Amino acid sequence: MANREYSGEISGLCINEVLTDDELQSILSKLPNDKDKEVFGMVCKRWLHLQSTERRKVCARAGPLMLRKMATRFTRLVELDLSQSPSRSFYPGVTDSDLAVIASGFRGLQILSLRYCKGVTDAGMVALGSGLSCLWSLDVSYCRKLTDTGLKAIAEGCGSLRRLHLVGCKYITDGLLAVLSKNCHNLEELGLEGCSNITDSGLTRLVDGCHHIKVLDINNCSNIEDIGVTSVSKACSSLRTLKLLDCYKVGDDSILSLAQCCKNLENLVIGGCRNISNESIKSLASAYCCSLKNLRMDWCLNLSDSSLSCILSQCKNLEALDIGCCEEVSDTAFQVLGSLGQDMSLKVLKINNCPKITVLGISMILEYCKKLEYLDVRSCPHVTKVGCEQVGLKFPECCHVNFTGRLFELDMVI
Amino acid sequence: MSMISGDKSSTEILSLKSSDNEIFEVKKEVVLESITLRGMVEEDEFSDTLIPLPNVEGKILSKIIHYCQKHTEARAKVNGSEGAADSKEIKDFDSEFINVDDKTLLGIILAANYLNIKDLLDLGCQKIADNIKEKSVEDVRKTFNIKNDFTPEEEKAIREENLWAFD
Repeated sequence: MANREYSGEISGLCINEVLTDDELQSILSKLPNDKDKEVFGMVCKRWLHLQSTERRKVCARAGPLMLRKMATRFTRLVELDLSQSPSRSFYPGVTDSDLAVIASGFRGLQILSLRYCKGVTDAGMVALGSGLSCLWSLDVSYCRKLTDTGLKAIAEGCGSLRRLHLVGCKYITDGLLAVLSKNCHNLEELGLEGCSNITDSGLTRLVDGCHHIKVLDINNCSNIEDIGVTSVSKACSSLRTLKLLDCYKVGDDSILSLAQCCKNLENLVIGGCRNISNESIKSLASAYCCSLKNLRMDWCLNLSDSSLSCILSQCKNLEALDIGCCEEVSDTAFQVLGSLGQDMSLKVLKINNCPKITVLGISMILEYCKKLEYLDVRSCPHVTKVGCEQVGLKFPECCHVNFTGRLFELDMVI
Repeated sequence: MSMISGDKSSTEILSLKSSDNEIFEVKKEVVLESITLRGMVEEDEFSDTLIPLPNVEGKILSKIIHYCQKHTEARAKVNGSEGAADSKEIKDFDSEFINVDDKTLLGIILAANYLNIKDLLDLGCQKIADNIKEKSVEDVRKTFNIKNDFTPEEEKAIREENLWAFD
């Protein structure tokens, strides 16, 4: 039988008089395409209401008037994304008065992104803190005007906060960490990259109340030393990601403490922590034989062949490794790959600026790392494209090799 | 959905009465396709008597029973595994089954929701959704005989909002 097309005009039947909201909602759920959902919402007022209340997330670039309209229309919104691009933002951008509208209009909001909304200030944060008690995720990275005053209001008003990103908010101090410790015991993710005023005592205070932190980013918080990191490792045993880029005062005590206390570490950034010695790196390798996936340790100048060998042989699930500028590393470190008897899971390997590595080392890497997708060998004087071709090295199709200066997207993976 | 084991369920017959007083004798295992009826039956209230369904008319109920029978049989063939639902035979049956006039289609959807027969509800709603996909707003209104109750200003406002609120 030919496919019968529904035709209300012929049957005279009006679907709205027969079906209830429940069935109409089931029909809406069968339209995966956003365009079709939009059309659905424009058919009549009843369908608009169904489509609007179904909506859980909205990305918007809108001023207070439009936000107010959206608040009345999308009553069950849980996620709002107002993030801007770093270079261009619409004028005047998101302002504090927009935040006041959000605070009063989207009472059930759970997730809010204001990344790069450079115009917002503490006053906006105070409004959000008093209105959005269900908020558990807030991203105000690069909202550079914010200080402790505003963020404290968030910490006090949003007790269920789990995720907070403050990258680039350079006025933040230990004071905020104390308030988070008191009010936000469910905190799991904290991004403090570039909050250079943070000190060890702030971190120690933070983990006094926040034991469930899984992701901690303190890249470029150069005041942090071993005391802070050891406090974190002792209190937060479920730590999965720790980023300590250029925290140059951090040393062996931190690494040993992590190896002892945080058994589930998957992502570790210790690039630029030049005081870390070989011995503690070896203890890292044996502690994280199963969990470690991403390790960035560029500029760890003490890194030797023996400790790198330990990492390569013991961290069985390692997917990304950055040992750029570790000038002591040579081809010898990669000899261990031959005796492992298993496929390396390594997908990304960065060995730029390692003057002792030659084409021999590269050939060993290619032989045993079959899953390699990106290899960075920039500024390795003994590894050139011509040199590799001369010895007949064959790079697999899926693997991109970076010989010269340009940055590649996989550079940012760790 | 698992089949209840034991002889009692495979031979036991239940009676369903439609809103227009038509009576249908149906095997218990087929009746159990409906979560709503399963709840009633398992409370043992209706094991000997009639189950009245005042919300469903005879014509629709007959179609629904046919659907449930077919799906129960198909599942039995593959011995209760999930694979039954995917077979070509069942898919062909489903698309033929739902190829009905508008009034019957809406009746099936309503009844499937009331009787809580998820696969049948999905089948019916998908059929309607297919008639909405890739159509313009005006075409959707024509198809489903819906009156536009927006003023031109209201329509314009919504179109504007949709530009600002994306995903």
